[in-house]
Amino acid sequence: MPKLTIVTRSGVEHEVEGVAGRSVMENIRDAGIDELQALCGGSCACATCHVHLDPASTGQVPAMEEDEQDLLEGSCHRTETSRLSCQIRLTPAMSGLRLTIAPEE
Amino acid sequence: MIDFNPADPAFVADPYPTYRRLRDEAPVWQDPGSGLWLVTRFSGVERATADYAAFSSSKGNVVQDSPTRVGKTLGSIDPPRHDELRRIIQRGLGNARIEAMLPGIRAELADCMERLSERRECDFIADISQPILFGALGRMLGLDAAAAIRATELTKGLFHQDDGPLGSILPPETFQEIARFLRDQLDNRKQERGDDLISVLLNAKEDGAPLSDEEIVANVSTVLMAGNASIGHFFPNVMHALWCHPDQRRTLIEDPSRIPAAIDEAVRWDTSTQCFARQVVQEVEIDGTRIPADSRAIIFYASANRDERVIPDPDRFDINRARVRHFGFGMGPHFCAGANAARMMLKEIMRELLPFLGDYDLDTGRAKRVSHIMVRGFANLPISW
Repeated sequence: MPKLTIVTRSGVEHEVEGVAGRSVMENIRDAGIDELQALCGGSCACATCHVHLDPASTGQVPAMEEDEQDLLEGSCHRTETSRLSCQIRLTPAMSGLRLTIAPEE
Repeated sequence: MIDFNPADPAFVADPYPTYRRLRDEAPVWQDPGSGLWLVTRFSGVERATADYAAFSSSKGNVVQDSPTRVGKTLGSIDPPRHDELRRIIQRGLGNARIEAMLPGIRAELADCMERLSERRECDFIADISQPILFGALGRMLGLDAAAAIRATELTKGLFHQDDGPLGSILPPETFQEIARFLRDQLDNRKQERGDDLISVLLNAKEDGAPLSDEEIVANVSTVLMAGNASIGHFFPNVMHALWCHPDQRRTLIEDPSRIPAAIDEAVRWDTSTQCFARQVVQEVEIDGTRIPADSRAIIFYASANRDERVIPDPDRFDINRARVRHFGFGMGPHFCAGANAARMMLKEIMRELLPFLGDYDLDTGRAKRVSHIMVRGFANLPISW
């Protein structure tokens, strides 16, 4: 199972055994970390599952689609490594992915 | 036997016992009077919001939609065109744009509190909620003072007219007047561009986005109406929820960092947009019941938000509740495009307003509730402090 490191807003690190085939957003929520709102349920419609990938992890995930790009453009907390976690489907090759939950808007 | 009468004053006062009965006994139920199919469990609502191939928005998303809007607004189009249009419109409602509006909202709020400084009571809707929210809306749409007043007049009858709890949300001629008003605004922006939503959409169109003038007008009309009927009911509902739970209200004054959680819990607990409509375009089985093709279904977000099968102790209002999935802003592709805008604006307003109003009291005996099935809110709400 792919391993994930999730850093909460307060800086607490969680090492999680992820489930391939589920989104990173679902994996964060399944791990019992309730900081992500993910209000739209993973439809790429709300930008409330915003995470910052560790720079070393950015090459492990596929590039953004246009709609994700557009939603992140409107965020006040966008960085170069911003992603919407609902749009990344976890694969075994992503093991070691490290991310931090972005501040609430 | 289900007793469903949305005109019954007892239902208007508290629809939640009826929703519970529907969830328990008939989670997908056809109302014999209207022919509408009511979907009330979390599971059914979740399915209906996601399965747009069966539950189409193409005939509009309110019980009876206006021909001036159907097929042009985000709420009345299915993917893939919906997604294409949504990307364009969402750019005009991004968080950074809302953040830039907040100083203006704070100024509006300061004026409002100044006007109220010598008073100890007023109507929360007419004297606090509407001036602040319509000011914000006018700013968002780039309306001058006269146009902002006209916009308020055009939308004040929304859900308040006498067409019954399942009726049209506005008279047809008012829909046409709103379209004419916004068309004029669009023509003005073609002459002189601003930094408002209409200008943003016009810029997108000129940059090649597939967007017609009619679609700009129709979708801006949604924003105008949402400012009245969605956040316009949401805001007083938050105040009502906190009045019902004064200990939690005091917590927020002491610790304003809990305000976002309180706003989210309020929209779950007493959802301002109670339901939306869908057209069932192919026979579908949902929660064990078949709905035939060509049926009209009403999906009850407010009932799903109280479904004890999914949400622990759902009738309890608790700002410290562990995060739960809910339909306070919908879910799926039609998730409310203005949700973040509403949450950011309310957070800002509540932070200032709660300490100002302190241990406020609401006179619910003299308050009047809006009686349309789609909304939960107040037409007036006397407040004293």
